[in-house]
Amino acid sequence: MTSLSDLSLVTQVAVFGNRNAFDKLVVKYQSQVRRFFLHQTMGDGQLSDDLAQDTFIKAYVNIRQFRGTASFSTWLMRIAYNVFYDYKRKEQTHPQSLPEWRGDDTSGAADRCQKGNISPLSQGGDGGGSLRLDMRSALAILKPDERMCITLQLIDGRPIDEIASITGMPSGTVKSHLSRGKEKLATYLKQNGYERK
Amino acid sequence: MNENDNILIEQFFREAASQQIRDNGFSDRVMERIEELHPSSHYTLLSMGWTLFCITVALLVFFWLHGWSEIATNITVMLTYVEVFLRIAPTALDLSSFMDVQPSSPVVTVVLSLLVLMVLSIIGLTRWASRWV
Repeated sequence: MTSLSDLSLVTQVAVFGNRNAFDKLVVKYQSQVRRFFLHQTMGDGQLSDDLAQDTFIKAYVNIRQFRGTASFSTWLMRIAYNVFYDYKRKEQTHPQSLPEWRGDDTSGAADRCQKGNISPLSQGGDGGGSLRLDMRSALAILKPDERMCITLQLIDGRPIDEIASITGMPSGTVKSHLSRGKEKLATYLKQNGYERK
Repeated sequence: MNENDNILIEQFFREAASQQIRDNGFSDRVMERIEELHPSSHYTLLSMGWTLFCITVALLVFFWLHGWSEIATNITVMLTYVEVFLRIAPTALDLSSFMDVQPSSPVVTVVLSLLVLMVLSIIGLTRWASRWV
């Protein structure tokens, strides 16, 4: 039912150029897309909103390329993934503006989050909370690809084949990233007193 | 990694999974940006207006030149050809008479096509206008 409604809205945008229909799609998926970027940028609200805006603009421009073989949500997240990696590539060519979290996969990332070097997730407009700070710290210990797969599975609730479709990685690679990421997270959580009683 | 670790991780992410980010004007900003970058709606309106203008002119010319009588004549002739064809086809197949196309026929065809286009254009314009009302 949901995908039918999306398909109807996409058709109205693609065939009649109906911007109200696209507005409905933006309203429906803004939370999902912005949350995705917030997790990838470790809570940089302004950057996340900019990247999310780019994602929706690209989706609007390329809406006729949507074939309906996957759900609109998957197609949109694929664009979001590409926007994020385009941004990352551009940042790597200008390392002076590279944020501290970028490309740093191992020690110290969580410490920097807690010291407040990264703007709070609440700047994205979703309210604040100590758990979110812990989550950012936890995500900061992961490699970017592991973080991507982990957030898509554990936060967005996507199955492995959908994550593979979004990221363009083979399913086996996605599984490896998930497995390694979860191991790191489990160790981190136990070390920080989250172990189940 | 054991089952407990999986449960621990899932519990840790459970709250994040249920969080919804409030719009706070984000979708409006996106739509404004799209309007800035692709102001196609104005072009669409101009294009449709131009089409409607051309069709109206074509329609006026059609009535001014008594196009309906041409259509009636051509339909009568066409029906006659069909009747003749059906009568003579079983005995002798001679299609030479069908080559005598009247000079006014293409004009009528064009006018009819324009009529169809006009109807489609009006439907499209109505849909477009209904979105903004």
